Amino acid sequence: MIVLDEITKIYDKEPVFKNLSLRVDRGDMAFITGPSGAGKTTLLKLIYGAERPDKGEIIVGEWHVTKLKQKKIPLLRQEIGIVFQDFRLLPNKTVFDNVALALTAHKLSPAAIRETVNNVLRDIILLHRKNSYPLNLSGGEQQRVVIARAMVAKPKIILADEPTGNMDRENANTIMGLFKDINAKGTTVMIVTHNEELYQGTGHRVFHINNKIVEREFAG
Amino acid sequence: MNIVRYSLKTALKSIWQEKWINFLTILSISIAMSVIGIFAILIMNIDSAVQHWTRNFGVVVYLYDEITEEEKLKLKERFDSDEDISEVSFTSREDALQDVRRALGGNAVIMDDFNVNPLPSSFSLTLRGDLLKPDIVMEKAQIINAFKGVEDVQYGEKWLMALHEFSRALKTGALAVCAAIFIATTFITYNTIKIFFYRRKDEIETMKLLGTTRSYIRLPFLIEGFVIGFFGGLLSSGTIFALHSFLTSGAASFMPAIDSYLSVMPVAIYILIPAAGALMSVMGSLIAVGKIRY
Ligand SMILES: Nc1ncnc2c1ncn2[C@@H]1O[C@H](COP(=O)(O)OP(=O)(O)O)[C@@H](O)[C@H]1O
Ligand SMILES: [Mg+2]
Repeated sequence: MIVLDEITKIYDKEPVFKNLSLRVDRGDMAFITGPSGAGKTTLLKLIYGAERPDKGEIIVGEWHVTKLKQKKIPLLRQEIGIVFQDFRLLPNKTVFDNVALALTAHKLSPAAIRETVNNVLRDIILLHRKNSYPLNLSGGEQQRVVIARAMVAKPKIILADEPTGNMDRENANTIMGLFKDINAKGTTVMIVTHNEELYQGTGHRVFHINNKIVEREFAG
Repeated sequence: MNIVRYSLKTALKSIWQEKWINFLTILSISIAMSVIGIFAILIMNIDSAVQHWTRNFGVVVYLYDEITEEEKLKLKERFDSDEDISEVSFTSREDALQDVRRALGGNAVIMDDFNVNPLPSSFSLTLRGDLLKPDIVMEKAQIINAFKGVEDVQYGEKWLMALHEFSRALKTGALAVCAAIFIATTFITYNTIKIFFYRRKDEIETMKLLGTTRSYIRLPFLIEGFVIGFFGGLLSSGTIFALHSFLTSGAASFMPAIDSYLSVMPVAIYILIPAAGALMSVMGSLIAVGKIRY
């Protein structure tokens, strides 16, 4: 469950959100749309505690994000898989090591880590690239590495910021298929996208953000 | 991954990857710690060196001319049984006169002008070396001065005072140097770890976003700091050991009798230096990594 209640967020005296409210139930898949600069990325940052709202409350699962102590933030983030819009891949690490980075603080043996990472790379059709470095991959491949890293720790929630932005339709469909699969297994999925095709006809909740609020909420 | 395993792996990898910076850091620390070690040994041995120089420090107890034989004997008994006094010798008035005559040599004729012997009899006492602190000697002199038959007690008060001041200043100075170098050791590691931390900044930022706890981020740097400080200290222990062996083996014939000055050379120092190096170095790393905010 993700709840944003009457959120106000101000950057440099300029509010991005003004009393924005939004709710996604546990196990749901939801989409966030809106023009560039509407605050979609900021919204996700508020959810995983990288930004703090100036007003309002945020609840993620059993976490009271707005009241969370610094020390607890990594515990919240261990339950969230994030597909960053700007990828945040480390150029000096291989695809395998980039994905494994998300398992650093998890109590897994090196053998278990190897198996888990290999499995997720296989799912996303990147196993043959596991020893490559990110800069030697295409934009779409890099994006898939980011998605693999977000999924590898089997989080309760996936937040994906324009996850198919650099992909052709075929690749986008493959990725959406993966999101559907993990959502079917109970993971809450929140996808920021410009691409109407991703949600049209799915019946999933769509939040259209504009003018500092959720301007429109409808079933896709 | 298990935090200890992960941190060791990450630290060792970094130590190997940056082996030259690490080597130079270890070298710097070993030089700093060697200076600390040498000063520490100096501090520990100042007292014994002072005792060495003042081995023949004496107190002279002058007696009244009217002193009875009985009182004299009583005094001698008291001095003999006093554990603080290592040597007692008596100089009679006649002996004193002889001494003066001998000292004057050919000019001894001037002594003939005296009808009576003007010299008092005296006891010469040698105090135990470890008692040679100005206040202790003064107290002792006052006690002896109050004994029956004692006219005056004399000792090298000014000299003793100066020596004491000198050894105290030496100790304070050496201690200050040690403290300064200790802080420098922390700073040496701080610098190196800060560089490593900045090199991994992107990785650390990403790890923070991926939910990596603080201890996973910190511990590899602390281990690296520990290793650097420990090996720096170990190298310094080796240096000091070699230096000590050289100075006491007689190979350094230009500096004789060093052994008698180095009465205190605890073996523990060889363990203490690496331990201190590691401790200061870990502190440097801790400061370099700083507060981790999410
Ligand atoms: N760290 C920041 N400091 C100041 N302004 C910011 C910061 N991050 C985003 N903004 C501003 O907030 C607004 C929303 O940004 P963002 O959430 O990235 O929009 P979107 O993802 O919908 O394109 C933009 O006007 C952007 O310039
Ligand atoms: Mg954005």
